[in-house]
Amino acid sequence: MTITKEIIERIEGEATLELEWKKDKISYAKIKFLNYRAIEDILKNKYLLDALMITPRVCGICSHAHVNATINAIENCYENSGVIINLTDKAKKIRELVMNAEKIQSHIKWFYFSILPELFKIKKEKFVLTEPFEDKEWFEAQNALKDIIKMGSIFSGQWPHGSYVMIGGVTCDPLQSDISNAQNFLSNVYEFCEERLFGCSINEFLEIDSVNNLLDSNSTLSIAVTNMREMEFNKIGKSYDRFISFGNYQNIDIPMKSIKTRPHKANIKFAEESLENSFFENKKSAFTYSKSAKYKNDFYEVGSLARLMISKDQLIRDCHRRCADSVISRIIARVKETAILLERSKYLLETIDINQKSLQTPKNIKKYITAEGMGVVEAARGTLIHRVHVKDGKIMHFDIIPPTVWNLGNGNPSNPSIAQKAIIGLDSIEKADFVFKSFDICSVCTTQ
Amino acid sequence: MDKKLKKTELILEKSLVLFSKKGFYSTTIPDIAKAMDMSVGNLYNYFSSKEELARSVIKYSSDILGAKIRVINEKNIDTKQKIYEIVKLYFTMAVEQPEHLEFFLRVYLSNKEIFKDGCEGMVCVAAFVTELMIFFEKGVRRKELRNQNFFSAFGLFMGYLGGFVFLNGEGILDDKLKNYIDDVSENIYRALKV
Amino acid sequence: MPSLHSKKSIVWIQGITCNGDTHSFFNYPQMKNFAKNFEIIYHPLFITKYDLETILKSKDSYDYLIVEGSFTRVKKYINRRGHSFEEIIDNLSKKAQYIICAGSCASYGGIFMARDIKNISGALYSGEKMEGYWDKNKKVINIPGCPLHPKWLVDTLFALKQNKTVLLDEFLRPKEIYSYFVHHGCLRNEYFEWKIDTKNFGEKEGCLFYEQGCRGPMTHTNCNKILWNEVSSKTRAGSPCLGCTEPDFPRDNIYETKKHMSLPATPAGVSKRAYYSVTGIAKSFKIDRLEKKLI
Repeated sequence: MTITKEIIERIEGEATLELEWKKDKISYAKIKFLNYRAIEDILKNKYLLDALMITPRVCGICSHAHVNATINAIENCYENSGVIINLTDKAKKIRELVMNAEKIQSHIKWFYFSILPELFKIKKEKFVLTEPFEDKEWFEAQNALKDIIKMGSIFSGQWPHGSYVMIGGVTCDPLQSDISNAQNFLSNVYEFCEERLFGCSINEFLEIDSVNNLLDSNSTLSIAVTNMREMEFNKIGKSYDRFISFGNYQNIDIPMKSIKTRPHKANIKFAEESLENSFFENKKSAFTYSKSAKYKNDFYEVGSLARLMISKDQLIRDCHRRCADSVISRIIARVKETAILLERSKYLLETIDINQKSLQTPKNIKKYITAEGMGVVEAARGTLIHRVHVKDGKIMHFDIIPPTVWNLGNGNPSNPSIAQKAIIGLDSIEKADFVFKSFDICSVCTTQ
Repeated sequence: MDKKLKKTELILEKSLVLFSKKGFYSTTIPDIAKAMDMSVGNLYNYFSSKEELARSVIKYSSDILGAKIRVINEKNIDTKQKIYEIVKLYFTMAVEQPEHLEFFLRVYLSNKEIFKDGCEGMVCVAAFVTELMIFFEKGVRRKELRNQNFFSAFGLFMGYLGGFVFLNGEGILDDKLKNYIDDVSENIYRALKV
Repeated sequence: MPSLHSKKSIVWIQGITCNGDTHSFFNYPQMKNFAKNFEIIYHPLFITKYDLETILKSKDSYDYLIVEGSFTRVKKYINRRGHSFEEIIDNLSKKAQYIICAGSCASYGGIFMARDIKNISGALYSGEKMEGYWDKNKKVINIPGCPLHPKWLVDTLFALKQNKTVLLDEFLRPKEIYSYFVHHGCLRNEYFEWKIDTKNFGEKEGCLFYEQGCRGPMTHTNCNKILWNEVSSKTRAGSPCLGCTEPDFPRDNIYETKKHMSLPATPAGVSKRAYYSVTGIAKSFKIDRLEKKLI
């Protein structure tokens, strides 16, 4: 048995894969995150509302997911102490819309700036469509992610690191012309996605229910999928075929899991964080700063693929029939979800009633409370959970469970984690690197 | 100083004394002109009405008091000593220049209808109130005074001093006003300290 | 690695960071023109011409070193491909013509400094004190902000490329950007003038300075002049300025205006006497128009 160390770069941060090899195949993999910033410690003894400023700074690419998880946790603290929090439809829609902007940005950036270049690096070909800072389509993609962020920033003030939420609602008070402006930016992104990424109108794309039909057009997605098929990427990166989402998201309003294609209700009380293998347990065998999240002691995948498997998306079901939970399925799921999020954003903009209140301050609200609360959101990469314990208005304990610790934690050889399982059995470092990246690692979130 | 300005100041000084002794309504423009040894017509060159004159008087008086407190604020002494100095200043003025406090209590506070246009809120007493803001803010910043609402502190300080000057004016006090400076300062300090 | 044609070369590295400055940079609206003038020859998050080993080993100089994230000499805090931050920065800073500290972490230490204030700092500053990673380094330009605005970075790069003098303030920030205040261009200015605070979050009307902790009048930068993402700003979206370009960021208890006997800190450079006097007078008037909803 030989052991090699591979450093995974060009992710949000950096990770090291320690691979064990038997007969030219990977027999086990340790995933090490070696940079740690101690945000959970920094949050201790801060005033509760200060968390709204601190947690977005966990991560530059999903700062609005964090600020939403935090406001949900803070509001939950108040609810648990008998205060009624009543959000208007408008406030709910603005919160969601701003998070959608961030997700769409994340999906497009990941596909164009990470997946496509990495794919063609493995093929050792220059990928003419999306050479960074050179090709037309790369600039168009950059323009699209900038425009979708503009749509969100009209309501959040800025991105990254906006702080547009507050107990009882959102801080902005938009005009109808702000909505129109947002619709203009959304329309630009529609245009880009339809012309380039999907190769057809969004309605046609949403109707597609088989992978083969995806390949009819000369869209960038179909080029990517064709290339991945040639490289037999439909066979790599498979894991447990278990998916989970803790709800609060579009048609997944309650926690749900899916074992292969069968969705079931889930309960968040069984979501737990394990310190196994982490330096926090202070064992000699520890090798990473990242924790691992499990559901009833089992590993579950989170993210776009999980969400679309749970919500029985026809295209993803077809993809799953052919390619199971391989890297191809993960990649197609994120592009499909981009279309769903665009449509959803369009609906939200059309239905926000600016005459409603942006924020309703709850009655009998005290600043210095003692309570516990939990906030859950679906971030681009999957479920994000914040748990807070506040005493006399100051944070005693803050726990952040980001999506990456669901997908990229560490188990042990008899019960490997989602990503470990997906990597075991591969025959090259390049493939391991790509499979790893198919989960879209956010190292900064993982090791706050 | 400009001759007209100097004259204006003299008019304000005389009016302050007359208003504070006789009250606003019993003091007439001819009374003031007579005290100034000038014609009524000429006085109107300086102030267009008795009301305008009264508004200028309160501002003039507030500026004088503010300037005196400013001197204390700028001294390099602690907050407790500043309280003592302010109380001493206030009680000394009550005896030696009673017209200022008399005007404030008998004219300004008692005839709001005269001041409602042009002296809204603290517009005409800004110089005096600003100095107290500076005094309180610095005391809290230096951690010598308890942080609280400005008006609860201001009311305690000024209400107490005003009440004392009133008692003195009514002849109720059993000792000279200046002999109360120590105790009154100590009480204010204890009430406001951290 | 000589500069290609007329393009200036950039090496982008990261200290202790959230990547927010990188993601903010990708919102730059004129990216094509940026690409005509500059080439990022190394960036940790994306495929670039060179990898880290190559630029560390190379003896060639390049134009601009952009550093995102806080500085530290503690090996276990940052590890990039087995290299400590110290190894990386000491090597690369010598080969760069200018060192641009992108964001508040690289400039002053930023939010992550709270973990270990002695060992985490900015390039030259630890908060307000000149006790940073280096005692001296004449190549440093600070572009603080959490995150930085992409225009602040690229405008500075263009000025340097064209050999223009970039005037810097006492915290080594370009004066063109940081001589302004967040307050300048804030749509709530009239409410500030008449001292009318907002009744609640979520409203267009009222100023956020008196109760909600807004730092606009004492925070140097031009957010409300150039706007964020070209469309908005924190104060336009109803949330208070957090003062993120200043060396004392992040402050505690941010959503509450710190007051002494109800008196807030005064705007930068305004004496207390002048400010309290004007405030008191302005508050004495009830302006009906400003008490009403805008629409």
